[in-house]
Amino acid sequence: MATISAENLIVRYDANTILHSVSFLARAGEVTVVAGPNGSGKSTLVKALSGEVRSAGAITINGQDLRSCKGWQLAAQRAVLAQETTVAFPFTVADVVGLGITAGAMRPANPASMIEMALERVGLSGFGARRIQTLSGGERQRVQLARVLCQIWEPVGDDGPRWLIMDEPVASLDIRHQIALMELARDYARAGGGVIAVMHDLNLSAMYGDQMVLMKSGRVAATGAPDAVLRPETLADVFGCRLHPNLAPSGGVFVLPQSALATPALAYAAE
Amino acid sequence: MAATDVAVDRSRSAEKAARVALPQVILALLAIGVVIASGISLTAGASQASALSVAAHWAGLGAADAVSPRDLLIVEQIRLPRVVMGLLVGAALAVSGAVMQGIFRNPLADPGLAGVSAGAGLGAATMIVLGGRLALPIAGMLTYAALPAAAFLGGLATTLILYGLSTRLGRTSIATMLLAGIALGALSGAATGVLVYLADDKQLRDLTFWSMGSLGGATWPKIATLALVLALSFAALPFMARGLNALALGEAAAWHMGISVERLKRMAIVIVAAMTGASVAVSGGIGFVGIVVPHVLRLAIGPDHRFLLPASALLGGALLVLADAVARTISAPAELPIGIVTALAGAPFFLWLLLRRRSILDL
Repeated sequence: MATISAENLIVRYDANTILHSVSFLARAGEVTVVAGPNGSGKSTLVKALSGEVRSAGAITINGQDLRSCKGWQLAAQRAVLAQETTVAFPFTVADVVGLGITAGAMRPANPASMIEMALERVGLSGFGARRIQTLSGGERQRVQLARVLCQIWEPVGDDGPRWLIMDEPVASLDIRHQIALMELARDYARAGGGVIAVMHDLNLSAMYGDQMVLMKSGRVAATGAPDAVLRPETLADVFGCRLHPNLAPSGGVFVLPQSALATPALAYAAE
Repeated sequence: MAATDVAVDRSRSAEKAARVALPQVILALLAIGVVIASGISLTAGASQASALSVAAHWAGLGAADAVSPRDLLIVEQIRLPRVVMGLLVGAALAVSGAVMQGIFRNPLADPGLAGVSAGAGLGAATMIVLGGRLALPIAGMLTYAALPAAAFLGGLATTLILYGLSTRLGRTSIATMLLAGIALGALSGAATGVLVYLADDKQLRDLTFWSMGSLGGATWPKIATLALVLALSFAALPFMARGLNALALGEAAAWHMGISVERLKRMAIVIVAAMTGASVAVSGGIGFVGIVVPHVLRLAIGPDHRFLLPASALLGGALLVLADAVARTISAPAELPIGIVTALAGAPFFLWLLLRRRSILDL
């Protein structure tokens, strides 16, 4: 049961229903991308899957009922990277990354070397002693990625696969680090771990996603492999604008906004 | 994945050894500082009583009549309880500040600034003025427990209201917290004023004594009560340090790292209220220890609560004992309220810190 699954998932905030009976399945070994317009319930879905928000319906992680797991048991099985994480006190980069080790299931003999390896993997070698507040937004996000990696260092643990759950992880990153993060996530999945990522960038989703879940108004609108999901009619229905999927020269699909493609620079010149 | 590059060891001891060298050295230095500060405070005072000769007497050294009974009395009965109570109150105030800052995720949170001390003061004033009328059975032997208990309840109520007012959907607004703290502090102050108005002469003396803050009322029964509250609170700190570290990354991140955030917050609120209440009950409002001590220590050893909390206890105790020595000697034979000393030293220092590091305001 190397999956994270949800059935008939319902989330309400006060009188608003954010998720209407959503069913979801992510398999270890794959990158599952959740995409959709603003307010479609992507983040809420991911928060429910990580146990952060109260929900109705069945959720399982590696075959166990999520709600029967204690916080520390979940922390050993899945780590969560938010779009942005602010650190309250002048912790060093190494301190922050080390928090991930404390939260995870592994007890490395030499935590300092694990911290340095994690920083190396996110391209921040030698940043360990810096105060995190002195870093740029993108660098801070990569520090958080290193922390999250330390929490679930082994893609497969004694008791099943580990899960990397990310909510718009690349929003603050430049294109090079967007690619680096997505490759890291894909490598994690290829090594047996599971990855769930909320993404806005459809092209990165198409390149690195094994499965895509398109959400609209708190429901799943389409699910499947990226080239099956990224169809003009599906995209028009979900996003409410004309998008043109193409075959990339390297294989796979890429998506272009269609009106801009047809009439470049005319969008503002019409009047 | 490079999992095989990291040797795995299920024991935690090796993990600790590698990282904690510097903070442990500073903790040891602070412990020595506590001893030195206590020595200075035992020696200082209006009387010329020599703490050294008394110490020699305790150790069984020197001639039996080398110490006058008067000196012995002054050091043993007057200065020693003050020093012990100063250490405990200083530790309680500094640790309360550090825990509250950790929970509010902001270095400006402090029981004094946020009105918790004023709330505890109102609780204590209520007990002093109305306690005798309301519940005769608790007078007498239980006074030592009833006063801290009332202060604790006042502090707890203020902390809960404050948290409820300034936190929406898991996010704490520091601006709201500080403003709400000012309002709650003013309310508690006004209610305390009404009690002062109602009080008779003896009650008025009791009220005045701790409204300025003083260690002058130190007695062993008070110390025993305070020590009990502190022992219970400190016992919980090792379990909270890791949670407070994780909480620095926000409530969601702390939950993702396996911390039971709600339980941590409840625990912290009870501990802050208990320690603030107990110290306000015995020594009145003593400001700035809770905000300056953790701040200085974060600059020196970093914000890791595993070291920050014990270091705050040591430095808070040492500083308050020194402040008390200053309060007793600067205008001898008269005595300055210790709250004035800590405010005179703490407030400019705090302003200087703010000006140097404006970004921490985060408003």
